[in-house]
Amino acid sequence: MWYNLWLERVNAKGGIYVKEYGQRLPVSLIIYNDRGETDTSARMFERLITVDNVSCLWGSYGTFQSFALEPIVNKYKVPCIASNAAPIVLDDPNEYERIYKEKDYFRDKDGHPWYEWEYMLWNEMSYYHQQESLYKDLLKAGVKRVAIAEIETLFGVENRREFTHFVDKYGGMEIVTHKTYPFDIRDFGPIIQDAQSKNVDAFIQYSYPSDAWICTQQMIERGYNPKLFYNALGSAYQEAYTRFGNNNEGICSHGAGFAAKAKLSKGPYGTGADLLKLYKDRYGEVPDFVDGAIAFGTMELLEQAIERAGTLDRQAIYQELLKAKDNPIPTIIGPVGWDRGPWNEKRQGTILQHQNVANTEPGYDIEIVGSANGSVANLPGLVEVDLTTADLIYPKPPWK
Amino acid sequence: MSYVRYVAIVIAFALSASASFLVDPYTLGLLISIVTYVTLVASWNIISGYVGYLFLGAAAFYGLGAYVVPLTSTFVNWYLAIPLAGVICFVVAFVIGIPFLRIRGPYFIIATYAFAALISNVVLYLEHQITGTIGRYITIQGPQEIYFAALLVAFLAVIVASSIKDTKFGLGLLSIKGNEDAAAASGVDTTLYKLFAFGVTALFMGMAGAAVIPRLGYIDNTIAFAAGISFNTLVMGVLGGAGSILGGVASAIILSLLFEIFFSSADPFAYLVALGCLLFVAIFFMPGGLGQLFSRFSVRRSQPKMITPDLGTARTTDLSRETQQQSHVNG
Amino acid sequence: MVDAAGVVNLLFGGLVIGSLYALVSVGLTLLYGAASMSNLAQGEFVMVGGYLAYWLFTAMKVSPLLSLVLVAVAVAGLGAVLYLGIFNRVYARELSTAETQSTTLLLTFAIIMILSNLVALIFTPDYKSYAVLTNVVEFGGVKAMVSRLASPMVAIPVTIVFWLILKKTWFGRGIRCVIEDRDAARVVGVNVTRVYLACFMIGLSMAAVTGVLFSMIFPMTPYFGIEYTMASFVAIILGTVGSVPGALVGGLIIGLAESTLVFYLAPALKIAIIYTILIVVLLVKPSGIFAR
Repeated sequence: MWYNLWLERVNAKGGIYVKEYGQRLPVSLIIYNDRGETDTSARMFERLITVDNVSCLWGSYGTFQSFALEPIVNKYKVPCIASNAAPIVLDDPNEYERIYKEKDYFRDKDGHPWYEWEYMLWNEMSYYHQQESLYKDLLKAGVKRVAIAEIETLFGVENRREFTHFVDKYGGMEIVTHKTYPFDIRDFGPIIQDAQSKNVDAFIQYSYPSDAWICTQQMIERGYNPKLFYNALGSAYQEAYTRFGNNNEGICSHGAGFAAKAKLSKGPYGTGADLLKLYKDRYGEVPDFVDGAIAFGTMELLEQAIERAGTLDRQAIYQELLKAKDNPIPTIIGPVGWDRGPWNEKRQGTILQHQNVANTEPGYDIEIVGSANGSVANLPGLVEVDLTTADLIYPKPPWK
Repeated sequence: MSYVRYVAIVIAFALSASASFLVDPYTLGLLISIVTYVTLVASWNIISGYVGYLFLGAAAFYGLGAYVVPLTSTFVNWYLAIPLAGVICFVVAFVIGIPFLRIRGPYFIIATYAFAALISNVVLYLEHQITGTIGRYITIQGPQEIYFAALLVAFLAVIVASSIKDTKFGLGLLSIKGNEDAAAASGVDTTLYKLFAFGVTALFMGMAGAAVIPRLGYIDNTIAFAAGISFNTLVMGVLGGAGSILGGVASAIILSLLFEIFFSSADPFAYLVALGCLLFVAIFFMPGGLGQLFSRFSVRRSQPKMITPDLGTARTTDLSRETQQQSHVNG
Repeated sequence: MVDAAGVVNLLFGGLVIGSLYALVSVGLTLLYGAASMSNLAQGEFVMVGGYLAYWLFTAMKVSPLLSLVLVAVAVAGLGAVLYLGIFNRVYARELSTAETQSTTLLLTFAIIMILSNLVALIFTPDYKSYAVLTNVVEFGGVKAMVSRLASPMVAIPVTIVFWLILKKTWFGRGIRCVIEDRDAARVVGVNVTRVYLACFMIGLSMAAVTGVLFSMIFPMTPYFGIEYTMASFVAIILGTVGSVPGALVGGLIIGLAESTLVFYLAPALKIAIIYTILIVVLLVKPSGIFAR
């Protein structure tokens, strides 16, 4: 729905202004449905590239699929923004830190720096910073004992790995229990109970929306109210409001830099607040603050890259993307630019929290309570901006 | 097989192989997909068409075969890994067939679906526990190489599957489908025959998986064991007529193309509903599928027309003639 | 993990899921045991029931408790249409039992394709859910939302009532005769066609009612049906095909196993464990625990 919104907006302007043609060109999106099948996805990409002759691509939804698509994109040298997937080009947080500390670049196995061959650029920042902001918040709040529940997918594994890296390397708290669960889980009873018995301060759930809702519901049922409850994906969705209403108060989740009052959330169509209003007026419900917002941001960034390039030529667009590091592209999820690696290093890792739900219009109650971009490990070259719009409410208020 | 047949096959192979040089990369990708399903359906016909045990677990062997490639990449090159995958799948099928093939009727279809899902889950678990990650990287092979490999496997599968029909082994299988107990009573070693048939099915499915997986460069359990593989194979097999290799090949090609059209739209569900309705109508009115259509036009009536296992009645005259002949022979 | 409150809650969770399985399994045992209908699409009817309840609630503000009845009636009607329009004709072809079974099996396979994609078309494949009856009650150490309580409180009495109908009424006796021996029943004067019709209507509507109960608790996608199909097949085999109390017990056992066993072994292997149980049951005791 977010990309439909963008499509309407951009074509309302007449399209994207391409200097080479001296006018605005209307945009059409060619969308293929791959049903989540990677094989089909790969074939569709090839079709888009070779048959439909697209100028640039917007990547498939799903981290593992982006892995499979990367070789295709690089073979044909078509710039592609992997929007709803985490950049796991680097799975080692220590290696990530080393790249920044030594001012190195992400390289392939022959040593070539990424900007010579990598055409798949990630709109999200590394999960490293996402978990860094969570870690910072927990540290600041004085959390000592943490329970982790992790969904058994790449998303869960990677997030948890980054978080664990911080705890292991920089200390300050202890992960007292860690459970993994299958993604079709129905009963969180034992996991909740386990956390309860271990007397944890924070309950961290690396989740997808569906399991986040089931877990939340069962926590309410059992009256388990940890001092901090974070579920990665699930809380910043319309469904969460429908199901839990005021019980959302205090629940934290993954952020993407988009919120009503977010400082750097500004793109060609307005600020975070503008877009929130636009979306709600158009669709009548609260937008998804993470994946949806990122999708929109990706559209904005591609649009501006084309405008900057002034042409539809793939290489030219790619070069503009590379130049963004000195002239970041503004979007509703913040500015975008790539330097040391094909991940967006201008993005701050952010944590969201529902605050004052009872008295605020849905969507506007979500505040950014944590933000980080390299300060914990002191990584040079990264600019950390404090995006917080409110302080973390800790401990979490009881269920209603 | 007659000399004419041999020549025809060689020519067909040469033509299909050369097609890969003439088409654009996207079409080549499509051809790879079509050829893979031809293999899957042809081998599916052995256990489901000839023996009559409807199989919904193609993904299990396809995935196993696919996983052989990264797991053996350090000591075997890809070209060898393909037949190796076939052999491994044959052995696995033979072994698990011992308990599995004792299950009959609708339970078999459920058990095979469960088996495929189970393997997928176990592989995910093992990967997660042992390697700490979810997927693996594979050395990428170019589409030409993949296409040749997959095409070769497809030809082998189709040749073997259609040849079986004319052998004593094939007759034995058909008699099991006609009436398993009677077949056993008349001296057919039903267990061994079924196991062998299951093994051959698995062999080609595994080779299909191994041949195609290096295209993406990445494997995980959702890619290797995708449920769609099992469902599509069965749908194609049923529409082609279980037991009809020709029908199966035609069905694999047509449906693969249809799927491509479906998914070239943002909203494929309407098409899928239509396909389901088509399937429904076909089963209801023409259970022999495309195979039934073909044999109406063909002169050689030794093509078994059947789709439903345990063919107890004389719904199709051809088969009853054959079983009559069989029981004559066996006394 | 030997905490009493924890165990009780775990058992209750198993009871909730088990009662859902029980209800859908009773429907299936009727279909398969009496009408020779190996309904691979049983789970799809659960899913359809769930989505109907979702739609009734979100679009028409109908309470799910009322939906229980509405959906039951609607799907019973659908069952009648399916039987009279299609399956009756298949039966009329006078094929062997095995061939009937496989034809109906393949037809139900096609139904899976149609129903799941139809729902995906109408509702999109994204997760859908709604919340009702969220007040929490507490008893005996168990804390549960009323919506979860609804599952055992509706499913189990319905199956028991149905079982009583089977045992005590003339109508039920007819069904039982057909389950035992279809041809003999016909000889004795039972209107087999009417029995089959009843089985279709009741069997499918039970699945749909299960779906309504499910939708009150869990988010749904159009493709969740297959797990209920699998679970109900295991349950009816465990409990002996054709036996209603068997299906009830079988369903409860599977639910409890999923909840307790799986968690104490390895939650990540939930599918592997359940399906291994299924395969083992199919291999070891195909006549079920209630076999005569």
